[in-house]
Amino acid sequence: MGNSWVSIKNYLLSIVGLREVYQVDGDSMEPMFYHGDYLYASNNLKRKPPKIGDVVVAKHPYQQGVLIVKKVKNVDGSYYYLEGLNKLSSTDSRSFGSIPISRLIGKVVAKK
Amino acid sequence: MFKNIKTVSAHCDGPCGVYDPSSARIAAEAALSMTKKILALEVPEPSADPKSMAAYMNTVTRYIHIKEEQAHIAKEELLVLWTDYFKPVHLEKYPNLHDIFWKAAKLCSSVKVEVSLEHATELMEAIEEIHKIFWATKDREVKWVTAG
Repeated sequence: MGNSWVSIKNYLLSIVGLREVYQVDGDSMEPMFYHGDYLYASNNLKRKPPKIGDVVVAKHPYQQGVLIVKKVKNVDGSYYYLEGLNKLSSTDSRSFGSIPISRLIGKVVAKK
Repeated sequence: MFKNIKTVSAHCDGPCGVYDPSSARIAAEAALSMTKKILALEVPEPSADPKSMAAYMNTVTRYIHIKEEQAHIAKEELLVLWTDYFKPVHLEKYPNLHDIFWKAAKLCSSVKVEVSLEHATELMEAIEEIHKIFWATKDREVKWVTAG
């Protein structure tokens, strides 16, 4: 019942533009998210900035048009250190460093 | 139901996304061909013209070089397929996947080191099995073909 309500709520919020739906491509977030999974992400980060432990959607630091999904490992001021859960299959802040909050575009709130 | 679903990347950088076991098959088939050619060579008589022996040595060396090179390419292609394309979800459906790849990689080494028609043939059979699994994961029927 709880899960159904969350799904309905997120679906309705996506209709009014308060949720974005993303599809995962790749396995760097396993076992939390698998290739092909759908995610809901809130896009109101100004009101509630992501914190350590949150999973976020961000613009790739140097690949134009590529969005990434990673977990926040650390926050230093307005810079976020992001890591994949499956470290063998992830390119993340370990290689490209922390990324500014301006490149974060969503906080994952649920799996569809 | 949902419009404008965007894709979020959750993998390492630089994935071209283009995988095909045929690249391993072509290399393994070349190694098999070279194995056959080496076995079919006839050693010149000791009394033959020295040029014959030189030509023979040159030919067998070239065949061995190509065989070893192609066997190594086949191994590299298989390892890329194994580690980059196949995912845990595939392993659930094909629990012997790791064993198949491990044995195929071992066969590449054997084909490289030895002049073994048996192992070169077994390598082709292993790659055929990988070909079937690979295309099944994509829900596509792709016929197994060889150049020879």
